[in-house]
Amino acid sequence: MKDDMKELLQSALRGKSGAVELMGARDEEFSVSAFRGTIDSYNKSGSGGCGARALSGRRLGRAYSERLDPASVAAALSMAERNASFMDDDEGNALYDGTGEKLHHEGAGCVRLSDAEAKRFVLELEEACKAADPRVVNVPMNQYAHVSGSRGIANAAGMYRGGSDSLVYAGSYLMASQGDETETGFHVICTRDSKALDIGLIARTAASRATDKLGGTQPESGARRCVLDGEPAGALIGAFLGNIDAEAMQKGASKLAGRVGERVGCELFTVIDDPAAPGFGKRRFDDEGVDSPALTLFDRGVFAAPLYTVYSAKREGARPNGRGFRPGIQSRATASIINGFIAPGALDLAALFREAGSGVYVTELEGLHAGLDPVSGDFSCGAKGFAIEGGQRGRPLKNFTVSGNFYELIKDIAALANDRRLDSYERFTSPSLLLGSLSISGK
Amino acid sequence: MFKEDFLRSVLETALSRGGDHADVFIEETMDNRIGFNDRKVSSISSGIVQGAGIRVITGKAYTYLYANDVDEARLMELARSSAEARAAGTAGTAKALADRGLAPLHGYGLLPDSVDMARKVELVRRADAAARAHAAVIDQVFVNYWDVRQRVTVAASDGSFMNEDRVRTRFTVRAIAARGDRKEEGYYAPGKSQGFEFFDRFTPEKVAAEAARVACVCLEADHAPSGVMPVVIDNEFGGVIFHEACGHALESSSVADDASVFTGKLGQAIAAPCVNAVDDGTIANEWGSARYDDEGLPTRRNQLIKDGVLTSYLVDRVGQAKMGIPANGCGRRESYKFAPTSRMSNTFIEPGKHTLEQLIASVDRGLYCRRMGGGSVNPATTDFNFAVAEAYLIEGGKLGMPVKNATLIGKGADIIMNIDMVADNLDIGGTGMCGAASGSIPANVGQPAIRVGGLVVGGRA
Repeated sequence: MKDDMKELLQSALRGKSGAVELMGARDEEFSVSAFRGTIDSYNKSGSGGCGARALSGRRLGRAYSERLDPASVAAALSMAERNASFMDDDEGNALYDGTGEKLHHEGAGCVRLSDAEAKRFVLELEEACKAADPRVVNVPMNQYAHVSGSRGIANAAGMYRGGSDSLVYAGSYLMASQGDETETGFHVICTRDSKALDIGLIARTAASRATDKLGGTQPESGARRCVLDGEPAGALIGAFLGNIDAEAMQKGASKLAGRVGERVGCELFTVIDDPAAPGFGKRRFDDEGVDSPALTLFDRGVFAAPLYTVYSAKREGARPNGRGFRPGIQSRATASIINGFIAPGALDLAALFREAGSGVYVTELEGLHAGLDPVSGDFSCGAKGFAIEGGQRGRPLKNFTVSGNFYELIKDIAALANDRRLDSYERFTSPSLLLGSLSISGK
Repeated sequence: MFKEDFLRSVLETALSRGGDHADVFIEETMDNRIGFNDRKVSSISSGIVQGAGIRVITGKAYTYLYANDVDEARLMELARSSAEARAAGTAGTAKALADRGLAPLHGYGLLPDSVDMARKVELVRRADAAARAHAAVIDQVFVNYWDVRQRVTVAASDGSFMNEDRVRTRFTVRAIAARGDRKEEGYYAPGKSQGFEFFDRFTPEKVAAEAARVACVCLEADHAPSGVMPVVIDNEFGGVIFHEACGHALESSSVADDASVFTGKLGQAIAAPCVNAVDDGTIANEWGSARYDDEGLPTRRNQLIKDGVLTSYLVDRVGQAKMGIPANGCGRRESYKFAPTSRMSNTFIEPGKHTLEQLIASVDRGLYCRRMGGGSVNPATTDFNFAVAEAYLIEGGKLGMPVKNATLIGKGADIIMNIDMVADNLDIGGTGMCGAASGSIPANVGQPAIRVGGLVVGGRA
């Protein structure tokens, strides 16, 4: 956070007596990528802006501006006040009435590569991918990037929250062929220390993800025992966590409404959201200025805590729990996980296969953004994976779908592995899961 | 507004350490969004996006730098940083800028800025009331209103220069039908390159009724069947299947890097002879239309497939540098925060000679998809997946029970070979936001009803 952000926000609020709040944001990004031995793209950016929220009675208006001169910031405040006048009266509309100053600079020690180092890195990454397996025929993407973002939140009563974070990431996307068949593999590592960007690991993982799928066949349709790999498991279950947003529950868009304290999953299903745990999301307060403690969301199958914004908390007389997330200055605060995960088990992946005996190991789910109904919990997605035969990973499988229902799935977890990724760029991660049964559509 | 002479000097500065082509994209966008749910106006937001990006293409590579809140000094600083990003070489030149001066593609009846916020708020209230009035089982309604006005300037070192004022309006209704523990949703979200006159045709009542209708159908639906079967996909948003399964793999961003199954296939039969496909950014007032693309080139009607033969890719300026094929007006981006790349605009399969009824009557056991949801594709393999929002069984050539939660998967390269009947009911108005490397952009899909043999349907029954 540059020092002038606080000054800019506080000077715009000077003399304001009403309930008004400003969020300032600055983001910087650098990325470079290589293709066929040359640097084929180089991107650098700096951008930012200011989002205003104004409360009039129980009406809340918003406005934003990417222009940061004092007149534009003042105009955004006026627009927010105007927009508030067109809102409906709603008991939930409020701004956090925090005071004092809190700062959280997470990525201050983030070690980045220089421009020259980054260019060398991506060229070496492409070479490593090509060398990883003779069946790798093309590596269209080899990228390194570092990103940093800072946020400042100030209100007319003198509250200030300043936070920043920095990350580096690198990854490759490649194609492997055998005869007429082509498969693709992708691997990216996200970290706060560029020394953790292991070229060999990225190349080997991306290459094996492509080559292992070659020769895949279509499975028979039917209900099967499944091992759902940690990455698709995190993506699938994470996509349904909008149902623990208190606002969705209040507004009839979640089947978990009124079920806090009730057993909805099996004993093995524990979900924690801990902003201090290892992982991608790190923050001590949310985008409304509220402190963000660690939460147990599901405790051994019992739905333990919804995610609250200031709005949804006020609607039911609860305390906000610091999950108000604004993806950008233009955004409304909506509830979100910060750094969530399914508590892992003790088994390794091989033990999960032994436990399964036979079935399907699902390594990729496609089309999650479209193939699920967040309200009913139903999902049906394209998938890739492997047969589980004799307690081991067997031949590759492709051209099939996996379908089921979120509420049934969380009751059907038979075992969990200990392989949750800590170098992922996802806000929600999972270990690999052994599921009693999923519906497979193939032949 | 920046003067043309100044922009030329920006381009020359960007090229001062070498480069074959430079362009600058300057944007000022204003938008208004209204959210409504639980019988209340839940949010109103207005704002200004303002920034610029400078791209330099050297050989087959490019650099892109952007910043917001730009004035002359910041833009020139960006140009100097752009030059410094490359190893020193021979300075390039920028020609004097000449406005292409094409007439606007379409007019706007009533600019959103001229309409009072109270009138916009009234629309979302009407939609809520109409959805609830449609059926007693509708127990929650989410409505979103969005108007956006984007003013764009593009100047390029080849002397091309353009200004365009783009206005779009979109209205989204999501209705939830509930009975007992069961909840199902229906969704409809039309949009056009129009101002407030958009609502003359797409009244809130009309959009709400369609969303509520789908929710009610899904509430009565059983799980979809599983397995391989013929599928009839109806018009309008049904075109998402061509957009995903084939269109993305025709973009030069993947073709030029040998990362598409269609690389090297120009002039070859890649689809069944009954398939003719077009991407057309010039259709007046359509959601994906504009006079110019975001590289400053006039948009075009590009015939992608003619009688099953691949006739054109979608090529941007970087694709032109890599492939030697002229750029054809499809370089698009969400905002100045993205370098442009080859993208679709309004993409559709042209009409055939059959009727929808003939397509359904020709299927003994299969699936009729009346409304598609979204989907995605891997261009390197054309492995695709689509969600079906509203579907019915076909049994003995007749429509049967509604079914829910179906997914269609397969390979795009196969599906366009397996289209064996094309109907005459073309509708190109399937509105969507398409996400790819250059961000989320408005794109229309469309088609007449098509019959596809042997698709994998992922259901549960």
